[in-house]
Amino acid sequence: MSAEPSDGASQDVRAAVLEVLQTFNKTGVNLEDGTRFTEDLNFDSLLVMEFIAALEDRLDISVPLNVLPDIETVGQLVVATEQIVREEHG
Amino acid sequence: MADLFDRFESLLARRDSLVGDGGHDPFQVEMDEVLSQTEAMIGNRRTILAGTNNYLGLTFAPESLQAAHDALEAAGTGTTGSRVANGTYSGHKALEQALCSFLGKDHAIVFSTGYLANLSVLSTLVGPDDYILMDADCHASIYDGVRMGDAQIIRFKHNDAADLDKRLARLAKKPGNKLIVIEGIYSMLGDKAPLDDIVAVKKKYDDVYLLSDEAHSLGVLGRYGRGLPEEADLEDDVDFIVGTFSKSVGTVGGFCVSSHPQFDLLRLACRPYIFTASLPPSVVASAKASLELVEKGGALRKRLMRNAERLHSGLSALGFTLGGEISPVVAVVAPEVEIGVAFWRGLIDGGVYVNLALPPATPQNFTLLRCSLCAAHTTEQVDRIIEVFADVADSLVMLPKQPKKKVALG
Ligand SMILES: Cc1ncc(COP(=O)(O)O)c(C=O)c1O
Repeated sequence: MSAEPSDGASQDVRAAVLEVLQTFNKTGVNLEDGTRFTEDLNFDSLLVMEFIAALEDRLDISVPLNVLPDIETVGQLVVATEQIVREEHG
Repeated sequence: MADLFDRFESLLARRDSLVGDGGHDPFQVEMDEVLSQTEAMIGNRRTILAGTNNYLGLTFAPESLQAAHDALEAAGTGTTGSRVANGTYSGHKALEQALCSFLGKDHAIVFSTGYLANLSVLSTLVGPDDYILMDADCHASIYDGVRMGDAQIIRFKHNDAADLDKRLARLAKKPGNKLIVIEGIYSMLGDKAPLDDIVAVKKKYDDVYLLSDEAHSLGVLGRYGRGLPEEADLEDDVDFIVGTFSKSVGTVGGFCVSSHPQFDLLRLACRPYIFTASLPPSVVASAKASLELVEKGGALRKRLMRNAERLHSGLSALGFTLGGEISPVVAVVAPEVEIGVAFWRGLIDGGVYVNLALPPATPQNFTLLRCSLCAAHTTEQVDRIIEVFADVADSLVMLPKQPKKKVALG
């Protein structure tokens, strides 16, 4: 098991996710942990792919497609992304 | 009450907004009569087929027709089941042997389509502890195949070996096999994979395998038509080759070949091999006959490339934006979906059939008028295709409702 990330690192990941997501936020809703990709942000499968690619670039990670079906909200994505960053760069 | 089909509402709305005006529907084209490899009757009009994937024009090859006839008479119209449950015919074995000797691999498995070949191999070859690294522009059958399996699925940027390298480097510490999945020629834009760069990256790491889907490059690339690995002289570095008989080979069916000593084990594991009927004898026989013609098809490949160059240069001289390098797939980029539909209709009214490809099935969300050439196209037919493209571009400028869009396909 890897160590818990420092608050600093997880703040960075959260900030990066929100920063990238903001560029895809066409509906203009507030981005909170409970914001849902499909219902609130109107993401379709194509947009999801583009957004994930941008997030991968921003954080220099690979997000396996397998994790996507379980992610409905921004908060869930932040948690999943933190874990990937930990695994790939920790 | 909610109807079952309510969930397709947005799909229906999109279709209606695009083609619901009663005009010719690009996705429901009826070929009333197929006249040859390059012509069909579509709605009473003799139409040049420039969207068939029939690259070598083998659908009417006398040898293949004869082989199909003979097998039909000898072994009947169908196998009525899968090879696992209902038996392998001698034709299946002969076809697999022919694939082995043509492609220089020790083992071959024939599947009922190329789609099923990808589902089969990609869902079983790698397991939960393994990784698939697939080019982002891969075909839907590859996406569906990896989703059916348990491996971790990672996409790398299209044709970007450096991006693949980065992603493999991050996985290097992790146990598990890694399978890179690419295509020889990508179906939508006709661009080739940078195979030498990809093989160089593959060789930097341990436990990495390479699979190439040669659907559009088999018969097209290489002196003997063995696809991109032959052209790049890297056949030993591609561990698995997937292909289809539905394009250059001119019939239907799919396959995977490999020299891995245990490859045949897949027959026991692939559900789309075990649970679907095997190819009928006539199809198997024509595929085998056509493979021989593919191997001997140097002259056909020359004609095909000459046609490709002519269409490519003709359309770019007219100012169209083309999707890729010169290849038998010539994709014209339309500035928006509505123009794509109007343009497609103009072409069909002018007697030219191409494929309209729309996002999300296209790279970079392009709307594409995708032409594919055939060795059997005459120079006159290619020139006629170019002429009709020019006419339609002109006429679209005059569409009163779209005065600003006269860049047409600039
Ligand atoms: C790259 C690629 N793979 C696989 C297939 C599927 O082949 P088939 O038509 O034999 O199912 C196609 C075409 O449809 C393709 O373009």
